[in-house]
Amino acid sequence: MKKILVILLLTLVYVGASAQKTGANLFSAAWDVSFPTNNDFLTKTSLAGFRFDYKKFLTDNLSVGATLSWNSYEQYIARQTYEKDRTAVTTDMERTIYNVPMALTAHYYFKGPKTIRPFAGLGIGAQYSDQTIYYNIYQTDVDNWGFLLKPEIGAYYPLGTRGAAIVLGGSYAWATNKNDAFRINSLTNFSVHLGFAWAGGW
Amino acid sequence: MKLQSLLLVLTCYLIVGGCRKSPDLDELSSKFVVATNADKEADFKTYKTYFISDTIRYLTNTSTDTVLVGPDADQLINTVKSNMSALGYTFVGRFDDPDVGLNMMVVKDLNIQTIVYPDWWWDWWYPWYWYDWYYPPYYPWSYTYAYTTGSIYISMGDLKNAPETKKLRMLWDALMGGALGTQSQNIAEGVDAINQAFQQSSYLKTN
Repeated sequence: MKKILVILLLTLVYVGASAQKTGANLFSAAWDVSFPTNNDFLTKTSLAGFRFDYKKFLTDNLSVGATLSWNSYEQYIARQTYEKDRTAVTTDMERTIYNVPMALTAHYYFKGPKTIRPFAGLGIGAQYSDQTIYYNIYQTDVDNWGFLLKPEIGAYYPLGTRGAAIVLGGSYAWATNKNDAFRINSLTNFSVHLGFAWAGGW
Repeated sequence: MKLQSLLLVLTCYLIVGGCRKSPDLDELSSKFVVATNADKEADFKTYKTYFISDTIRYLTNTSTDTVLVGPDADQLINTVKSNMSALGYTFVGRFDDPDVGLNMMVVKDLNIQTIVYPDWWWDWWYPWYWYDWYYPPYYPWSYTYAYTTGSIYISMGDLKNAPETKKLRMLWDALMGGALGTQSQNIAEGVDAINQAFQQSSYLKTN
């Protein structure tokens, strides 16, 4: 988390050249690979994820917008005994998390190589999450909402001058989703996304 | 423009096709889930003898199937007996003043999951062979059970102190559940589950 903030601050210091025309709209859709980082509930990387972004350029190098994404995590946990006082349960299980983070965003665009538009930004919003345990023929399901902070960096690689571009980015998400039953106090992850963007011209 | 259209189609495919992946449950084993609970205050060393009937209450969709007897029942009952014996408890007849009574029930073929509250549920399955010790049951812990097809339930009641307290205090219970396979497979899973129930209840011992 600290490293991400330092990177963001450092990059914000180096004000670059303009990337987009003021007033332009940008849409992007990307495959989102996510690495859960903070909980004992599951640790397996999720390849099942997607994200959408909308950005409105207030100036040539500053945009505001919104992001919406989803990530499905799952991990098999071998049979073991869970104990508390004189209560115990023995089972194997499949643990899953389905996250839907959504945030309002602000991004800054830097001067990069001729063909690349690097950016850094921050999203603030909420995250819906559903955590489910499947064991034998049973399932236990808990869902919740949390406050979300999502700093990120990335870059656009324009495909010609007609508005399409490839986007590659990385983000860190910290959300306050809490689930006492599964001993989850928050949900955090790093994610990398790769996809396409459409804008009014680069 | 062609490129943009292609990208749009690809995006739509990824959106529609990918949202919320269904979990892969193939890895899950068929072994029963084993849950045990016990009175936190109970001192199991104060109990030395026990009784368990050779008859198992058997709940199915067929109203005539009310008890489970024969080799299958014997196998499950004997598993309980061997575990109790290994823990130092002595089996005695039901008229020989056992300190604790064990009761076993098997649920099979019930299509609808039933949420059961042990306190009020007790009456209708109170075992007929316990009539000598009929006292209102009392569970020192509070939780509900979800009985589905393929559940085995064992409870242990305090018979030693029941005449004085006028209550049948539950000391320990175990719920073992899962999907049903063939009869022999079910019994084998049941035996494993009973062994596991005792194994994870390390406080059950006479000394």
